[in-house]
Amino acid sequence: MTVYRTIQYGERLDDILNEMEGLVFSNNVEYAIVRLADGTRAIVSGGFTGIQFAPGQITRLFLHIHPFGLPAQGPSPGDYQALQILGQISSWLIERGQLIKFTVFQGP
Amino acid sequence: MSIVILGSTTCKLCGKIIQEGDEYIAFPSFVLNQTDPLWKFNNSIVHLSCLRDEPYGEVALDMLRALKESLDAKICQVCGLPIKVADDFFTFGYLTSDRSSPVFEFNFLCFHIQHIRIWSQRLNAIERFKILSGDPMWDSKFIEDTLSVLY
Repeated sequence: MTVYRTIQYGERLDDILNEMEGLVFSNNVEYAIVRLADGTRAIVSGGFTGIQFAPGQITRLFLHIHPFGLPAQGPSPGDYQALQILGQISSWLIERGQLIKFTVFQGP
Repeated sequence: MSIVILGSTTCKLCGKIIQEGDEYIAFPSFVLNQTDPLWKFNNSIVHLSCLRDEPYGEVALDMLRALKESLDAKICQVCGLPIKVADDFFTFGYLTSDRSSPVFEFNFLCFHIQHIRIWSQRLNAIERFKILSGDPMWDSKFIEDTLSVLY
């Protein structure tokens, strides 16, 4: 994981998403919005095939974007597994410009 | 694409946890056809050592490498120039690893959307994708969408 930049309080989500979609198209790597271990919200990047996090490096995965030119097949098993590891119920994915919410079942 | 959390994410092939320092590969969603021998690697995270033990492991790596190169460059097949705007971009992506397939030669080709109509192979491509349209091994929606771009 590489921190591209931190997100400041009051930034508009639309602006952030437009910026990220441009970055994904230009650089052909995956980007995500996460909360880092120190509580900072940040845009981070990975490689063409995904983003690798060290244990405890992030506490929340808000959203990630799949690169252009790949079939739209929704969140991967690794994406669902990441939510379970982070103890999250849901997160967002952008694929081919479509915003998709994905959820893991939290049983009683 | 995959989110990998070292020390927690598991290898799809051996089921063991991927640890820091392990060599692994995260395959994106890149395979369209569920009968493709590479389907098992689609959207999966695997140790490289496990992958190399698989019959189609090296083929999967080769195809992923070629896909990445094409998407890094985004060179239009018609004009030879890089495609700089997302709305102007179309690619066939990875279609098949079967060299006998009628669409093998179209693997990874990229286009400016407006250039597809003047692509010298357009009619040939339409005929070949039409052959696949009745093939239950192919996702009919993908074939329909591709044909609608080509028409």
